[in-house]
Amino acid sequence: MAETKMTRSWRDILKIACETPQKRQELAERVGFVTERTLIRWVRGESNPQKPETIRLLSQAIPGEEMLEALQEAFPDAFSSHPRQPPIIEQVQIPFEFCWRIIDAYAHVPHASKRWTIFHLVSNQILPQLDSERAGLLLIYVHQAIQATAPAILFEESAGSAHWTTRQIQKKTCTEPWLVQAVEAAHPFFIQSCALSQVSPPSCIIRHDLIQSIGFFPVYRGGVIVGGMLLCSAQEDFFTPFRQTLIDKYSCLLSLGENT
Amino acid sequence: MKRPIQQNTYMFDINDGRELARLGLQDNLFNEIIPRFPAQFIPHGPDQILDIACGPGGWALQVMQDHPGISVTGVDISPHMIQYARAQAEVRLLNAQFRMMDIAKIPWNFPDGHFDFVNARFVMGAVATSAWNAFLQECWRVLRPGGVFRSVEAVHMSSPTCPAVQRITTLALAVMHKTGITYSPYDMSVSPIVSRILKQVGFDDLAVVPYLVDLSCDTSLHYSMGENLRMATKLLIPLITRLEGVPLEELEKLLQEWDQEWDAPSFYCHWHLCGVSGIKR
Repeated sequence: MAETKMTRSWRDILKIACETPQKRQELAERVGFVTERTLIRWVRGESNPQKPETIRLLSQAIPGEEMLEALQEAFPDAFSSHPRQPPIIEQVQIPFEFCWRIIDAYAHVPHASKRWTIFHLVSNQILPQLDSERAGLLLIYVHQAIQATAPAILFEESAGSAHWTTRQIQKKTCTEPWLVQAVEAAHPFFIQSCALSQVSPPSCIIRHDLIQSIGFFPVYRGGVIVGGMLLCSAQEDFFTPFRQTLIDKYSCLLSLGENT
Repeated sequence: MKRPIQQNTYMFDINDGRELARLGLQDNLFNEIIPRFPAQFIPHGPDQILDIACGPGGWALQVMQDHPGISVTGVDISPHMIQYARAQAEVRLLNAQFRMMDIAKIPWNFPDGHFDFVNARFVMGAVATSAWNAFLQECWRVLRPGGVFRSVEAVHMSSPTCPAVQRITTLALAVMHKTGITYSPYDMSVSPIVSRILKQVGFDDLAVVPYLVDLSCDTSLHYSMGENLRMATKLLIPLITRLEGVPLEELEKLLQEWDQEWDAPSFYCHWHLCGVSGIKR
């Protein structure tokens, strides 16, 4: 008699993933927009995740195909127009040796080349770490354009992966009003889905039609904002809490490229 | 405390963060241009690869990411490059091996016949003209029978309407010759000699593959490769001043003119490169 495979429901899988308080806490952090109490309620069947992006983040937060398939079966609409998201980056520690290279560049590279050097050292490290599957990620170091006649931001340095490896921007100045205002506000911001938020990516970026999510991280030096890192991803819901923490750390390193 | 003066043929300061950043950028760009492996590896790829003068490891890491079963060992004389490459391997969760090694010190610390493929992309800066024979003989030794050696080197940069770019290229050629890495002050190509030596060492089925990179304005590589070459030129300035006696102010002015020419809508430039490969029978 052939064995029948018992398929587990997403709640069963979640229950195991939440079986200790520590596991629950870690899982809540990985999902990013939920509390431990919410996870418990989901396990008990007292409630369900509501937002499609939360369901997709949950599928990424528990490794393996089983959870994804179970969630796809329970919430097909959450996945209907979204390809499989890449695996979560478990490692958020920036290697010490890499930091040492940045500090070395800070100490020895002449001022005129410091920002270029540190930006490219950081982008060369961060791009393969965050976009290991080369879906497409773009990094742009931005400044406010102080002397422009109209509000604008300058795209000072850029680097990217996939469609953005060799070329990233059409022109160095961006006057897209929503982006200029967001950068001037000098707070981190994330647009997890340009389509859902009805935001048009700046047309001065090459292949802006491929941009699905956007994040901005201000760069500070001596308590003063000196620039910012703009990231554009070809994936929706790219800026998970894990990634936000990691990018924030890299942004601090970028500040070493700025003159005091 | 000043940094020790490096004792090798490489024209750039291997401890300079700018060179580390530049090579990372260059690796990423050339990973898009040059095929990962030579034609001899179609359809079955290599298993054990040695990447000579790996720099920050861009080629080696990309190979390992694209081909998880392949083992790559990258070697470089610079501890900074190796440390940076290891840091990159760490965050990419790749098991690449990176070691410090001076390729001029022969024999290398690898057993006979250990590798399927020896990759030597842009190594001419690390190999004196007088050392190519010994270098290729050592590559032969560490390759297994049937293994492949490949080199990729620059041949010529053609920008007929840009006098500043031409002048800088001419100065760079003169410096390369004086540091002993090219055979002529007028021609940077080493590929014809590498082909000849490969044959003498015993490699077979030699293949010569030309690559042409269009750097003209509005091409996909114009801006990024321009950044790479511009930084390379900046880093060469001290050597040009010392060996060619060109005053610093003149070189800085030339670099500004280079910028203007490069950014002009009438900028036309082709960069010619050559790949040479052979099989150990």
